[in-house]
Amino acid sequence: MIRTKRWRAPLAGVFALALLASACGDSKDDSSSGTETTEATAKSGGEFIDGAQLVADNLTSYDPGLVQTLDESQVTTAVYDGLTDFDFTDKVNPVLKGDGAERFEPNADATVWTFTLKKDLEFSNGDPVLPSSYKFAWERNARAGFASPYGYLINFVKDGASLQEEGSTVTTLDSIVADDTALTLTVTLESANADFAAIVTHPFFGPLPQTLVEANLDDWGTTAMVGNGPFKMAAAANETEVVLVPNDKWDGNVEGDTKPKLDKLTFKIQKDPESAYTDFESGNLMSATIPSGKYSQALADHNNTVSSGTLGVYYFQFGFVNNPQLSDEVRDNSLLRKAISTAIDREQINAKVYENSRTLPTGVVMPGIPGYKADLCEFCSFDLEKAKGLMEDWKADGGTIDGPITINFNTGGGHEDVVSIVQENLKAIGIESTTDPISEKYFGTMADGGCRFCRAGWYADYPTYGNFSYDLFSTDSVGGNNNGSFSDPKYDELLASAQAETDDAKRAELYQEAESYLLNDKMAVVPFNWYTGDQVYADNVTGYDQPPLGLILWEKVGLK
Amino acid sequence: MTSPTNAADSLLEVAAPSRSLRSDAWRRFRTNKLAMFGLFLVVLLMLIGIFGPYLVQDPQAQERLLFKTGPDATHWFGTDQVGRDVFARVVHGIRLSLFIGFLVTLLETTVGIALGAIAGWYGGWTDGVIMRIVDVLLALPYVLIAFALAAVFGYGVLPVVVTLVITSWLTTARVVRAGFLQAKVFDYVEAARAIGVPTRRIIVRHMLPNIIQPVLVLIAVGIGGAVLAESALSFLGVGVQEPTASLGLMIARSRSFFADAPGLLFFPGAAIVITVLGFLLIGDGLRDALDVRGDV
Amino acid sequence: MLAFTVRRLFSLLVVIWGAVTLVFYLYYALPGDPAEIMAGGNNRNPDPAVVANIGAKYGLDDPIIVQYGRYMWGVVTWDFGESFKDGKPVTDIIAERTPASLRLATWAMALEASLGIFLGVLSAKRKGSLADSATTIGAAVVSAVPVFVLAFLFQQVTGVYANTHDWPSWARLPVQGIGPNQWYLFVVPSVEQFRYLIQPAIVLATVSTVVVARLQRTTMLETQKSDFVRTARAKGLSEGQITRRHTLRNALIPVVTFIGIDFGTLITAAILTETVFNWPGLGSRLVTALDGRDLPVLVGLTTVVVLIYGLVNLAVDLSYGWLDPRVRQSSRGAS
Repeated sequence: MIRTKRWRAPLAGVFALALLASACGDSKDDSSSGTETTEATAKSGGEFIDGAQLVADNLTSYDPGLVQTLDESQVTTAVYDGLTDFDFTDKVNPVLKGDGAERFEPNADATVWTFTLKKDLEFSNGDPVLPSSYKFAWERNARAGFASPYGYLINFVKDGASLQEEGSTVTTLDSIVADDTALTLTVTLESANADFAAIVTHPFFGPLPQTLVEANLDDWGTTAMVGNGPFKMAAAANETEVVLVPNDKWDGNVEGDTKPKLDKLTFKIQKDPESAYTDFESGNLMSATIPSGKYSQALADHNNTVSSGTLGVYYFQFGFVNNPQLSDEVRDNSLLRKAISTAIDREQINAKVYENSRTLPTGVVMPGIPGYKADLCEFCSFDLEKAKGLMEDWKADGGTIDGPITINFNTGGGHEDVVSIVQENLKAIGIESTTDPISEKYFGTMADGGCRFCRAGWYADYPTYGNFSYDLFSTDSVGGNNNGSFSDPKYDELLASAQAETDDAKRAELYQEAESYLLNDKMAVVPFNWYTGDQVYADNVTGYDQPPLGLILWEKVGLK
Repeated sequence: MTSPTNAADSLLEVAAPSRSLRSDAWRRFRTNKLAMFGLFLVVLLMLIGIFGPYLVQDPQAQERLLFKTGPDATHWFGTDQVGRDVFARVVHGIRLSLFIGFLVTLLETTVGIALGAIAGWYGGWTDGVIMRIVDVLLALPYVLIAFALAAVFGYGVLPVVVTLVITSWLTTARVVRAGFLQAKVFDYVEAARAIGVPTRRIIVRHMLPNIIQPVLVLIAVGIGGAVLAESALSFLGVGVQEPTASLGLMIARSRSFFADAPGLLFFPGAAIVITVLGFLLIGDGLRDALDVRGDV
Repeated sequence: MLAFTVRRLFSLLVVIWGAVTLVFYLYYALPGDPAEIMAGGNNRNPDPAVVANIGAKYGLDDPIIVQYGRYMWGVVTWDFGESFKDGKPVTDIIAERTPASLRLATWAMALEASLGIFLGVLSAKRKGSLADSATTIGAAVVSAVPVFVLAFLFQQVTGVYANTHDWPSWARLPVQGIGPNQWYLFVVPSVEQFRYLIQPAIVLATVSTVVVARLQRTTMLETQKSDFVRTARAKGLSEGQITRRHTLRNALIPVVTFIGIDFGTLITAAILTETVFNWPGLGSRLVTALDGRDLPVLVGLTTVVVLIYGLVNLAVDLSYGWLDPRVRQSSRGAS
């Protein structure tokens, strides 16, 4: 998921926090504990007012076909469940399990996947959740005219690209077969993909109530959407808040939770993390993101999630179109890019902006992703002498800088300070720079060709290597999540062979080779740090945690 | 050259309000403690703004692992969130604010006097058109204009200066116009016109002195207003950008670090307050000093 | 009086037309390609396909005169299209946001008028005393503090500090938002609502309270020296009676006029105040639209703001003209 700070994972929460199980096992009314709620059970009920998830500038739509940011996903994944989901009870070794699907199996060479749905599942309004609900949703989300930022995901499905072509009249795919009587969904893929069952955890591949959505095909997100997740929308989202209430037709998650604890979940839309944090400290919100510069104070004064490891990376990407200064359009500038990456003082940035709460990266992909290899990148740590040497080499090769380079970033979230430090770092190797702060539609603008040296952040959609390669740097993802529009046939080839490889060990090697090419040859991406948790929550809140994918399992959150 | 009309005009001048107003006014100003304090502040700030930047550290240089520290021997106002010397940044910020304040006021006063004089002197259609333009510009918040110009010129000092000039000349023009309307009907002015004194001379020698008082006050207050407006625009993100040291920008960023490092708000904030206060006190002092209507 | 009103109305229309046209010029004609600006701004090379789409959708390819005609027609028929950001009809946004701004502005003006006049009267009566100097200095300092700094400091004290130091709940105020949005008779807030209203209103009022106070002081002092007051004193009326019956009423006229004129400054200050306090009014929404280059919303909101400004000025002019017959005469020549 792309995000200003956090990337959304389409996974429908695979949290396996055991807290819930122990907290509200029985519904015996323990009146001696002086519960402040009027519900039957102690430790359940109440309203949670969140101030951490939704920042106004990051919100466009909660529609599962359109969600792009982590902010939006927090709401969408509370309202929708998918075919499969990851169980993160063991945070380092997540297990993919069936959520809406009872079983899911590939054929011998992973070119056809069959999902068998659980019986009698319903949407919150009583409509049944059927294979056709999924087929309808996928085809509706993938329509070219709908312009979903994750539209490229349909390319995994055979002939999926035909839906995505501009001006296409194709509306349905024969490669998706929905048998509502047998409750099976059979998907033929464009090419072998052993990770497909993980990929369908993304909300893009969730189900939609066909009759209702057909009446409102494009604007479904502006209504009080009906879904099959732990919560349902109490009303359509508006500019100030989103209100959710428990969905009594929910069938539970993959970690064993069967019922949300809260009576009401209100997301208050914030202008920026600073004002949200102030509001949290004033007692008006029950959670907030820790703004840059407040880590030590937040850690000392409040409950927080900073020690949670997450699968996210904060990075800058070089623009590869319209960017002759830094790209390879006119001449090979990889030495310059390597010099820049080596000149960036990541420790300084981590110390000043994040108070050492983040992890320094050794590549794009981090521990927790199957296939992770330590110290993969040769140019990702700060070394001023090495950087200067690379600059000399580049100049000797004929490289010249004809003016300041532009650094793009989205405003808020402490990025201004990161960029200030980067500017000084660049000065140290003789590069002048100007800043280009953008406050709205940042990612769209970058993806459309505006990126020069642009900031980005990515939370895993699902814990696979492919999510950090195909979704971010492949040619297919140009115009989507590939902010720098990096496109290289050799890289695409390496990815394709990795994706088709069914042997886990071999697949890991191929992905590592691809990332090594991306970083050590082309230096298209400069990782800055790996995310950790960054939220505070009120003292009377239980079950609040940021899992590795960043999506909070709201069904586990409760009030004491 | 002394034409007969000019000679006659000089005699008429004797009947006009005298220039001894100047020395009277200065005396009154000098004895006004608050006004002198304001003058002191402004002179001090100007010295800081002009010479300060040559004497302080580099406002962009970042200490590698020292940041949000309090005032100490090396960094008199401490360091900011990325390790830059706050004192140096405040000094540079003062220079920028004063520069913009003076530049804007110089330009807007010129435009304001010119257009106000034309409107007041010629009256009729010309006056009507100019006043309509003033009304239209007054109706729009300057933020709107600033963003539009920023989209065209890019962020920075230019859209801020142009915006503030466009929106500030209006009050000056109105005041000058009012002064001209008033003075046009003075006996000696009508007499001068009657005997054929050239317009230019009438305006310069008879009309302009009439408006000097209110315009001087407007200038003083206007510089302070321009400093405040520039800080507001920087705060909104239209204006100079990081890493340039601007007081408004420093304040905008400081909110995040208020708990750890309140100095990041207070030092630039105090600089703005002192700057604006100085000009305000001078303006008030001028108003009192130049007011000929007696014992108020 | 009628002719006066008609003249004023006509002036108002001209001003509104002028302002709205100026906005068109600034945002549609001046930039090289408004479609590019809406797509992502200058120098960022937005996707030409996206730019073309926007151009087609908003008719930005047509000749400028056609665009202007369409634009003015939209203004006149009160149809500003939809927000470029989220597709919401601009008229809906206007309907949602205007009441909040009006309520805030009304309260700020009430505060600034009452406090300003009170302080002014106090200073005038005790001219030269400590209270007078203190008021002058205090007023000057407060008006020198940028609005957004003041707003932030309020938030820190009544919000954060109050919470961490466990102040009683009545002393703790919310730091952002509008809260329950409960109002009676449009401007009277419920008790809970008042807690959300009071800080932004005070902050907004500080911008001009000092000027009102100073103006009030000056005009009162001048009026006190005038003939009719001397006569009243000679007749043996007490100071209090003089103040109440004569001085105050006559001194109010310029101050009331000022408050009306100052409305423009209030609007700009409201933009900043609403932003810091996250008060969902026209001002904060305008900044979002400006940041995001959301032209339809920008045009719509600006028109509303200009309209409100014009109507307030008209009301002030008319009441002033009614109060002081001399004004009606003098307005004939020039304005």
